[in-house]
Amino acid sequence: MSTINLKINGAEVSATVEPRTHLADFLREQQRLTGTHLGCEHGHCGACTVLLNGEPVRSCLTLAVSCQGAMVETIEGMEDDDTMQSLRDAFKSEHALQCGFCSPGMLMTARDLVRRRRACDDQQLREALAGNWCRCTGYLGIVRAVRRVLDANS
Amino acid sequence: MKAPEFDYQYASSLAHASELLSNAGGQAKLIAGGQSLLQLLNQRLIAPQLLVDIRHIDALKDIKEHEEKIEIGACVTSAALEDGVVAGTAGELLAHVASQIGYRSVRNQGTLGGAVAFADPAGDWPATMMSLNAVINVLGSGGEREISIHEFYRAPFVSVLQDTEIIVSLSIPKLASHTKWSYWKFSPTIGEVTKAIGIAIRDPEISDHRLALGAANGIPCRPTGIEDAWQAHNAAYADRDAMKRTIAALDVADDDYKLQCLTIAAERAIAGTYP
Repeated sequence: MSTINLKINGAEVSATVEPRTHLADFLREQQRLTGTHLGCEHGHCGACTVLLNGEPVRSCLTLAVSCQGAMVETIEGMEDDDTMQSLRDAFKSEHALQCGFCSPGMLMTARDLVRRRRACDDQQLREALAGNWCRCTGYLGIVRAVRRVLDANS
Repeated sequence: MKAPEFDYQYASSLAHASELLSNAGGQAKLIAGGQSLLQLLNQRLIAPQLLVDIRHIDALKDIKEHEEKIEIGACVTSAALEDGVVAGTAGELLAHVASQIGYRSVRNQGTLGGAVAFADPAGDWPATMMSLNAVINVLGSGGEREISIHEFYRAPFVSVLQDTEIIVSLSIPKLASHTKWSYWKFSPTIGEVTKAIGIAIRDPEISDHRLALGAANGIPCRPTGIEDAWQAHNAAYADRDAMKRTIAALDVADDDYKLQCLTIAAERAIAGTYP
């Protein structure tokens, strides 16, 4: 077991973890932050996307033990985030979620996209979202929602 | 699934990492971005006793520009390359290739050195490094050595890297600003299994014609037969049948489908250098 100190959604956290525990399990089971979802657990579906030092990462492909000194942000920490608020509103307007399983990861990826790239065409937008799978296949609404926020920003 | 048990050590420096590897008796694996390693661990395809984490070592994140080459630290991420941390024409090629790898959340962690060491035949970086004639700078218990990318791979997922060796950086000869390059990748689903990669580089002033193929059955290759024919032709070379025969003779395609994919990759990559 190893002890790690990190910041999760702005709060200092000190915890003991097994080296093999990935960040998603650590967040969900030890920190009770179950907004981060786990789908495939080998880096394909994107449901577990969180921010590590401000950048989106797969939390299933990140060891908790390697997050010593890091800043982690999950969907729970996005309540007062302006970009996320715009995305939430757009997801609601465009009916961009059905079962909601992919939504936390989808929103994390979308937030990075709209903050990092001011303009992108529909093809680039779809490619940027390709790493997040929606098994309800509600992609049209999701693309429209992210497009709405991108257009409002440009 | 969940990863099997292993020990973890944070390496504070290159010397520390080297020492940890030397003491591990071949039972340790290096972890940098972990984007391939964690997939294998989570599926229990590998079970190392120890992971040595090198991602935080500053010396592995340096980018040094020399007169004729650029030296890129092994732990520079694909996202950094995508965002243009390397200047010049080679940097533009690297940025484009990086943008085609997996997804942004994978590129944020995945490193150039890690991908080269992992030796996935369908990986973007091994074939790209081959097209760029990269030299791999390695640190081992016996000191440093340089390995040409053309001598580095032995088989899929197998390289000449020893258990105690660490890739420190990759040196890439610069490309002249008038150099044309083209990267063509066939991947039916973005970020998923790649069927074929073709990278062509053409410097008309010194008649340099390079072609690398990736995602073959076997390690990435430079089909010199096609390069020579292209150079002799000295224009947009598009003899598909000849390319197909050359690739077939290289024994890098196990079936007709792979052979067709690689042939089209060669043809389109070459065509891409004549905009």
